[in-house]
Amino acid sequence: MRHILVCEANDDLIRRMHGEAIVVKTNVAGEVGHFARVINESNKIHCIEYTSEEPLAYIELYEDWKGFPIHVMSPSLGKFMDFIVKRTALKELQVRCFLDASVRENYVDLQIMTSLGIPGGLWFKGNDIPWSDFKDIMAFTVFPKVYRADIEPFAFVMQNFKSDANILFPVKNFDNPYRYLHVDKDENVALTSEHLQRGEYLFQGLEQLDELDSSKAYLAWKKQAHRPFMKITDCGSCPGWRICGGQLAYTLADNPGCKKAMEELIEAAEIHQSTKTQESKGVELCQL
Amino acid sequence: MDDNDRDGMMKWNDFIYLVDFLEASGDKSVSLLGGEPTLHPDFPEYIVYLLERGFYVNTFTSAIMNDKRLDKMKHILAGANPEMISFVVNLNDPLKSNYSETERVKAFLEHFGYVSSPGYNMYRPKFDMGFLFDYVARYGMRKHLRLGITHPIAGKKNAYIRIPEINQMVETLISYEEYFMRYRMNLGLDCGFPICVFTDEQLGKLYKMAGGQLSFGCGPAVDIGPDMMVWCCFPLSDYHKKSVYDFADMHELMEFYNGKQSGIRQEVAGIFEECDTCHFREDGLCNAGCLAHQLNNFAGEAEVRMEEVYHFDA
Repeated sequence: MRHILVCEANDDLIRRMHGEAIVVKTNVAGEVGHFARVINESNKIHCIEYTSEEPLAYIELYEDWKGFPIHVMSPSLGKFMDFIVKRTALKELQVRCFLDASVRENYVDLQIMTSLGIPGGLWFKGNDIPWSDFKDIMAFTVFPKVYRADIEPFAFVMQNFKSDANILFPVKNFDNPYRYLHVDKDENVALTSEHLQRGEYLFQGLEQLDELDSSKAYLAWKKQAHRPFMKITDCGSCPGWRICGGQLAYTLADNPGCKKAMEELIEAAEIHQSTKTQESKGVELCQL
Repeated sequence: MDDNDRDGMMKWNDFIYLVDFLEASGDKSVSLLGGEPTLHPDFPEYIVYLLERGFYVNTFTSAIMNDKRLDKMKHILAGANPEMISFVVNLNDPLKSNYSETERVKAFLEHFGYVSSPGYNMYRPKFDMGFLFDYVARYGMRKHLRLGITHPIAGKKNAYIRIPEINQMVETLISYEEYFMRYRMNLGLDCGFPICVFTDEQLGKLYKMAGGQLSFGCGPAVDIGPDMMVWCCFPLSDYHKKSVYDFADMHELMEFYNGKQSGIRQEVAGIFEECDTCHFREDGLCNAGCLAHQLNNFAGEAEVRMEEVYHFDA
């Protein structure tokens, strides 16, 4: 499968990436619509990630966001009544709103937001994740009593879970080299955003993407990606590897609860899947 | 939303669970009561949330609140659809009330009178409720009076109208018929009135006062507390208390309490001995008074009857 390319907002770079699926990251709300249109000229937009320092209720929204897959990353929701004022616009624009997963209040705010029809998600920004709240909101999302908008990463896991294969849900910065690669304006291609920042590139030049599978650096990473299994500790013994792939290992030092949470997420996905299978089977008809 | 330091108050995630619970049961109306619900720091926000979810919201309140709370309510509920929101303001006779409290009630009604209707609890056989009509006229309140009778709280000691006092109370109530007609106000009787405490003449007047909507029932009027415990109704608040998580939806919950209530009625039919053979009860026209009266008959006796009769949680 062709990788999705993640890059900063840069017209020239985007135009050079012909026929690719692209994620563009920006901190400027007014630019979002423009870049969405630029990507669509000759590429396929995967999503635009707009990161705001403001709570969701206070970000500026633009009409030209409409129809594009936009992720808004916000530290918090803001005051309830200010959010309510924005609610209709957010719903119409079909924006997916992510809140900082290390802030406990955000778990309640995500419930409020999604129960009012705005899809959202956990933004794994900080290291200290309150795993008990994570599990509560998982139950809220996976086994809802009534309709509500999706919450990521749960919706992704429920939709893509397979009992016999690994799936990796997006944790942060699209750092998942199985699916995404990061590119800078000089066409340096890296495994993750951190690799890109550190200047550790796979190669330079977009034309080399066609030979990714024979790239020595990429193959070396693939080999190294399974190194956790050399030890029996942490990720090496975690059943959650199937959906996390070690992406949450960075939280272990501050709060070692991810293993239990991922186990429960897999359990929930299995229940969800078996319920879906039962539903799709429907009533068995008598063949006589 | 920050739910910290809110011990004893409904928290957002529990509140959302309950809204889902009601919606999943096909119920799109909710009553908020207390204690005093307006004391909750996020009370106006809760109303807005419910309205956004398409619920009709009715709040039972004393309407006594400080300026800050009232201003917040005015500000937040300014654009609320008056067809989706209402307050039942439990009013007390201003001549027998604290002056500053009465002023607070008036300040509330100045602003929210048009979405409010009066409520009154009869706690003595003789009472004066002329002031209610004055409030309705003065503040443009909705012309519907919710009239309750104080019942015993099963398993506890409280002040309430005793069975021999009910006839006197009914006489006092019916003496206001002229007021109801003159002000074109409707009366809504709370549960727990047996039909036989009214004479035929009184029933005729009551029919007119209630706008033709009469009921002599007593059934579950389920309350759910901030701790997510649920009970049958206020007088039975310590009787078969359960967690709301024990039920899949409202239908299951109602079925449970209806079952418990019919268990008690197997033991004792109603508040009067005559209830045993009354055809109005048998035909379902009357539920033979408040169950809390019946349960009080068994207080302190050896537990020789059905389990339903004795199960108190306090």
